[in-house]
Amino acid sequence: MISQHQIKSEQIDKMIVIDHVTKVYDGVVPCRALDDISISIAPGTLNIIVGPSGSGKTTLLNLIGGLDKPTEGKIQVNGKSIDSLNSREMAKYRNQDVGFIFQSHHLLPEFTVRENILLPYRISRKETTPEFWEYYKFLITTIGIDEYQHSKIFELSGGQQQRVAIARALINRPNIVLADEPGSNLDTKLTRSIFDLLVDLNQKLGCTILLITHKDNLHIKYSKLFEIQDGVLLSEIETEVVL
Amino acid sequence: MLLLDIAFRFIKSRKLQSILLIVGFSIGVGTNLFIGNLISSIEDDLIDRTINAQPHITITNTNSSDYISDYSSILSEVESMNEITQTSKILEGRSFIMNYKNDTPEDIIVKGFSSFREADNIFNIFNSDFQGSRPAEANEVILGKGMAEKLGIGIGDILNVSITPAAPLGRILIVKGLYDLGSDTLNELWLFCHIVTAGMILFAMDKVTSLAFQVKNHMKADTIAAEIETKLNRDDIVVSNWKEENSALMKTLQAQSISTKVVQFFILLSVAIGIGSVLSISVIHKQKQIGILKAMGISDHESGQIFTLQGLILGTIGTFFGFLFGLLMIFLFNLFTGVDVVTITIRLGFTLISLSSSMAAAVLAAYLPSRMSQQMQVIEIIQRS
Repeated sequence: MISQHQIKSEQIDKMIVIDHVTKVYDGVVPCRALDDISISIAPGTLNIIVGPSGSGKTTLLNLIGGLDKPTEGKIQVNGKSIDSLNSREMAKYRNQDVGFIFQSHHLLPEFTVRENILLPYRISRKETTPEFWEYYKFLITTIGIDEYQHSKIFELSGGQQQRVAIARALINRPNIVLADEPGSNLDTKLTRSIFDLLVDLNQKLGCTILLITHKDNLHIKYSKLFEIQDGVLLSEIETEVVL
Repeated sequence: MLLLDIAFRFIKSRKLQSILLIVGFSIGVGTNLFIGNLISSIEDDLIDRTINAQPHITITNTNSSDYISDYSSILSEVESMNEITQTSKILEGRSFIMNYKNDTPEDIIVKGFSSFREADNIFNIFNSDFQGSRPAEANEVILGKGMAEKLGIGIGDILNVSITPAAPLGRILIVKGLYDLGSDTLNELWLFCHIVTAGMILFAMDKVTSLAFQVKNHMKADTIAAEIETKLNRDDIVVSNWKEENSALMKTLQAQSISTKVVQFFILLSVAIGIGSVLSISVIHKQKQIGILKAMGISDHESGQIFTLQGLILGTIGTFFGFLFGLLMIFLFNLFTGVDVVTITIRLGFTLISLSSSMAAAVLAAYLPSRMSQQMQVIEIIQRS
């Protein structure tokens, strides 16, 4: 007999549960991007997803982030199934539970650096408090963009733009940060600094991070490494990193 | 506030397109305002000119040349109606004025009123073009400027007026004033005098050929006339109204009003389509931003609102400048042509309706772009960009 305490602790141990998820894209020739994937991710951990191009890594991240819905299977975040959320609830989930960092920075050129970072917070319609501004200051200082927060997006370098995107992803203190090859458009040195920054933020803020990268970027400490190929989970390696 | 902010930024990011759109919209709104007010002013001017030359409602004998019998009872019945503002007894008949320049009699219609104030209320005799003074004695009359010129006489001169061309039966009268009703025909047609004077000229003392009534709202003269007819229920009289007597004019005005509204509608439609098409293109141009905003938590409904707000912003700015442009056109028209043609007066009601319709059209035009934005799938946009 499983006690209530056991269920609760099991849920806490599994921040994200991917349960036999399949994703098929319709088309002239239907494409099976993910094929019966099942994984679980603990809260506050840094997880890496690797695999060749077209293996289904981004699809998996999009499903967890609520940008897309699985064809089959279930996705649970914090014990709640996100597949059943309606359009409005899904928007709220994306705003408050998830922080996205895309391959391309995806910042809005119509807004300044500061305005871009604050957009998710403004969307949430929360009141700004002194504690919030303290957190904002901490974020831009840690990320290293405090000097040019009033600049226009096009005035920044690629690395700086990606740092702004990271700050924007973290402004609402999301439970989950989904980073889809955030260094793919940057040189090796900049990519390394972005990854180090994510590790640092993971340790300081305690958010769960899912990071898609290539195998040659595995210098960072991670909790779990998932390898995906042709939509199938090839391997799942767990390390004993204490975060 | 955030959605409004985003809407503003999107408009600002496409400056030239937004400016051109606002200019086009303003021209449409201004033109509508100008045309609407011009046509209304022309209509009012025509109606004013028409009703200034005749009573709103007139009662005559079935045989128009005969006198009205028992007119006192008609007066008391009609005067009790709320809509009636003034009643007048009129004795009218054809007469002749001797033209001493060529010793020939000139045709004239003698119009005798119970008071000159009543005559003025109906015909606006004592307007700014009137010369002379109001008659105070029974032998004093007002003549039209046209007839005075024809006779070669002026204020203070003597007239010989008779119901036949033969002078011996004529009355000797003094010209106290000269009216100018803005029409050459009317300025030669009438001779205004007291009803007693008319009675003496026409040999019809204490007789009345017509009863004239002014009403509060001249546009309701036809319905009030019908009410009077029902109320009096007499076979020997005819109740007519100015609208009926000018039915051709009224039909022309009605046709003009409809055609103006059609033109205004299509102007509004074309500027609204302009806004709709530009915003639709904007949705395509901004689809990456829409995708990013949706990924950050903006709902489908809110993403649509961004474009509705853009329609509202463009519509408000366009309407404001359109209003100023319309006022400028009206001012210039009045400055250069208004005095001779017609002076445009701004109708507050029409102006407010016109401006709010323009804004509503701009918002409605944003409906399709708004729907496009709502229906955009965030995953498709993110994958594409």
